[in-house]
Amino acid sequence: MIRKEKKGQVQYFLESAFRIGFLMVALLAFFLLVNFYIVNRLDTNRLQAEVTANRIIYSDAIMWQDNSNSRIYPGIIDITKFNDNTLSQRIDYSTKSHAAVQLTIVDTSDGSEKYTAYLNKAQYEILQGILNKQGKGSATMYIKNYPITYKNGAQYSYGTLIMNIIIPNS
Amino acid sequence: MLLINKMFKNKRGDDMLIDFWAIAVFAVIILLFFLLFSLSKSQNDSSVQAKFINKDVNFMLESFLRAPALEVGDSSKTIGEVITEDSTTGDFTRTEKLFETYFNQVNTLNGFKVNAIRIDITGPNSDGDTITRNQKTWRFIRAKFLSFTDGRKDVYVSETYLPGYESRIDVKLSLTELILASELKDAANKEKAQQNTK
Repeated sequence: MIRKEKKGQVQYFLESAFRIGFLMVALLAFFLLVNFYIVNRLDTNRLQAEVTANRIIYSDAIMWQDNSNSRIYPGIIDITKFNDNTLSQRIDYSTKSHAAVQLTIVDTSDGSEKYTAYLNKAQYEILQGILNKQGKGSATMYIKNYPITYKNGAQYSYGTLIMNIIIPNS
Repeated sequence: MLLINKMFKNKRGDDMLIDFWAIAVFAVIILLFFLLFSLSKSQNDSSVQAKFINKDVNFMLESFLRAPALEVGDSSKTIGEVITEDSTTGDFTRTEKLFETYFNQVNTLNGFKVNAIRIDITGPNSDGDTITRNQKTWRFIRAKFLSFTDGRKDVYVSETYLPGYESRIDVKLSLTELILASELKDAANKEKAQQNTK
C-alpha cells in the first residue's frame, strides 16, 4: 500500500531506518566472512626457500655418503661434491626460474670463507640485482646458517654453512 | 503515569527496541568473529614459522651429535659418543669444549641475532652409588646477552636421546633468538611490501 500522506511517509522511513541499517550490517558481515574464507593470495616464498634448504642439507648433493652402505650423513659435507656441477646434477629441476642458492662454508676456527658453490648460478646473478625491490619480477633473499663438519679427504674440520637463498617474487 | 502507560502500550516503540538490541547483539557477534579470525590467522603464521626454525635447531643438534670429536683429538669418535663417555664420570670438560667450538660461528638464525645457545644433558648422576643413583642435568651456555630495551625473545628447542651405559641420556639444544623492536618493524614492512608486490 502506498502512503500518500507526507507525515505517514516520514514516519514509515524512520521506522525502516533500523531495518535498512541492520540489512547493511548483515550484508557487510556476509561479504567480510566470505572474504575471510576465500584465500586468493598464497605466499609460498618462504616455503620454497625452506624446501630448497632441506633438499640441500638432507640429500646426497653435498653431504658425505658412505659408499660401503650408501648411508648419507647430514651435517658432514664432502668437499669433493661441493661444487656447482654436482649441485645442478643432484638437484635438477626442469625449470630454472625457481630458487637460486649461494652456499658458503666458513671455517669455525678463524671465520674465513673456505668454499663457495652455487645452485642455479645464472639465475642467482640475475636475481641478486633485483633484491628488495617492489613489483613483479623482484626477488627476496632468505639467509640460513647451519653449523657443520666439512670433510676434505681424510681431514675433518668444523665450519658453518651459510645459504643465501633467493626466491623470485613473481 | 500516563506517559509510562503510553510507552508500554506503544507497539512501535517495542519494535524499535527489538531492532536496537538485535543490531547491538549482531555487532557484538561480528566483533567476536573479527577477533577470532584475526587471532587464529596470526597464530597460524607464527606456528608455521616456528616449525621451520625448530627443524633447523633439530638439524643442528643431530649434526652436533654426529660430528667427529675433533677438539679432543679423536676424530674416530662422534661427539655423541664423547657425551656418553663423559656421563659415566660426570666430567663434561670435553663435551663443553666441543660445544663451544662447534657452535662458535652460529650468530644468526632466520635472519635475526642468536642471543644464547644452551645444551642440557640429563643422565645418571655419577656421584651417587649405582642403586640410589639419581638423574642429574649438566648445562652449558654460549651466550652473548645482547642488551636490548624493547623487542622479543623466541626460544627454539630440540631434544633427542643417546644410549648411555646405564640408562638413556637426554640431550636438549635450545637457541634463543633476539629480535629488536626495530627489526620487527623492518620485517613487518618488508613483508607488507612483498604482499603488495603480489
